[in-house]
Amino acid sequence: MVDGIAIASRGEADASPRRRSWLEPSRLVGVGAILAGFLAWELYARSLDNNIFFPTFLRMVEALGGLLQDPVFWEAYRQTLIPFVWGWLASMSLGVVLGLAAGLSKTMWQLISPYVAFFHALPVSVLVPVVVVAMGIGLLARSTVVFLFGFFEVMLSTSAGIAYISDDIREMTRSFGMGRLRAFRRVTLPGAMPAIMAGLRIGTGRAVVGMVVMELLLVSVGVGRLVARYRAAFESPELYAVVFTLATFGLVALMLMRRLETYALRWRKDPAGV
Amino acid sequence: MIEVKGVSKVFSRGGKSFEALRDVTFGVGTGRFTSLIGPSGCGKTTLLKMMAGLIRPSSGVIEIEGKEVTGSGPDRALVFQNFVLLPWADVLTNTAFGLEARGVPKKAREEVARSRLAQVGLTGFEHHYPHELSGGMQQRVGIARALAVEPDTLLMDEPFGSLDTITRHVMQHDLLRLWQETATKTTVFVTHSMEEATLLSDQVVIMDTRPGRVAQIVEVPFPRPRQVGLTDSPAFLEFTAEMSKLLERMQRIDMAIEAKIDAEVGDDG
Repeated sequence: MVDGIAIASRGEADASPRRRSWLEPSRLVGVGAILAGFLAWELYARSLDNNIFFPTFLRMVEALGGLLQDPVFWEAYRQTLIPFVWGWLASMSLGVVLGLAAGLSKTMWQLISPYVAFFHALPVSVLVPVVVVAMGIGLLARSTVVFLFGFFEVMLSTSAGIAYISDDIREMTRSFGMGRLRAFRRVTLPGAMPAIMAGLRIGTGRAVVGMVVMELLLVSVGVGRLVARYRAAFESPELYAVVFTLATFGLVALMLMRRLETYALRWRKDPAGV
Repeated sequence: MIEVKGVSKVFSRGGKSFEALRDVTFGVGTGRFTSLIGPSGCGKTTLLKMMAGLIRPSSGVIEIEGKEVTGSGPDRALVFQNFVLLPWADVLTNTAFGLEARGVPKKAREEVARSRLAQVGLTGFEHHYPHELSGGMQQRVGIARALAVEPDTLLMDEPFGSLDTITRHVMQHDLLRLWQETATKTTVFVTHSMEEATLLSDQVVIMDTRPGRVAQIVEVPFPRPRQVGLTDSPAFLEFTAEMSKLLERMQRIDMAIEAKIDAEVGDDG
């Protein structure tokens, strides 16, 4: 078993844990780059005669500290996150379900695809005023905006994932006479899983964008109201701090989705691939 | 007994049709090892997939033990050229796939899978994923998966075609040993290599192209059980050289026809 022995060692190497420590050089470079950015920000802001419009980094951090202790800040986030969670859950679940339906059934695809093509070609921001006119600015309207931002990415990615399962694998499944239901569970679903997970991750990113766009463009509740208030009052350190928290929220959401993706695709050579 | 009776196949796509097989007739005796060999485009893989029930003939029938093949069935198992393992499933799950398709409970199917993996020399690799294995080892899984369903007929589509020469030789000899040691199954084996066909087969069906058809059916004169050393014997070398010459001649004629067609098409343009 010549090839057997050669590969045994490779297999073991592959099985070794690939946990990355914070002290790894690539991580240190990234952390360093961020620190350098903060330093440049601080120095530039200090060099200005007046930093009403451009606060120093340390002033922003100070304002952030204040915000984190302010119940008004947390109430604003609560108001913003409730529609986000509803819209996000709806876009993820409906996106996967309709994506699977469209991927499995030609008729479903023919029914859905004109709508998908139309909405996918449209910048979703344009729909925000339409949704507001139709539904007002309540929970439903705000959830709907988040939903519209996330949904199409998830749906399209899911149906494409099914379409791209290789003909070889379909033929192999057929040759062993596997029934349709079992084949869906054991072949189609895991085969489409990389695309589904990528769709969920990108869709989550877009849902976060939807949440922010809604807040900033039109709605004077939640975090959007905070932003409007600080902007009107020229309280720029607070304004910057709020934006900073939004960015952090987006980052954490994406990081969690990437974790989930890595876990779901742990069989892959490079789970956190494209 | 597999009987191929007057099988023809015409593929048509976008108004153009291509005659893949014309009036192919031959038989494969039960428990015998038959190779299908011929230039590219002679329809040997198409013919094998027809036996597997994955492609229907345009006319003619294929019968196995007197029953017409109309679809895939538990009496046959296919081994693929590019292995076709599920990348998200480990070796054990892949090996048990055919049994899982039939609804065999997990414990029972994994027990069978383990014993088949032992037969192909993969004990200890049950929980590796396909991408952690070499091509040769992946094809061992492919063979174990086919054997696990205990088919009466084993259909192999150029199973060693994508392996490097050394791995290929090891696999040929292991298959020879495995096939001779276990209760022999009727086997149809598609290949490009005359040495491979001769070493493994009782009967070689030589096919020709345009349209795909049987050119000649040759009985392999070497008695079983065959040993690895057979490939070095003068008789073996002489036999395969003779057969290879025949194949080469067919390939040349085919190329000449192709060149002529190209020239004619060129004239039209």
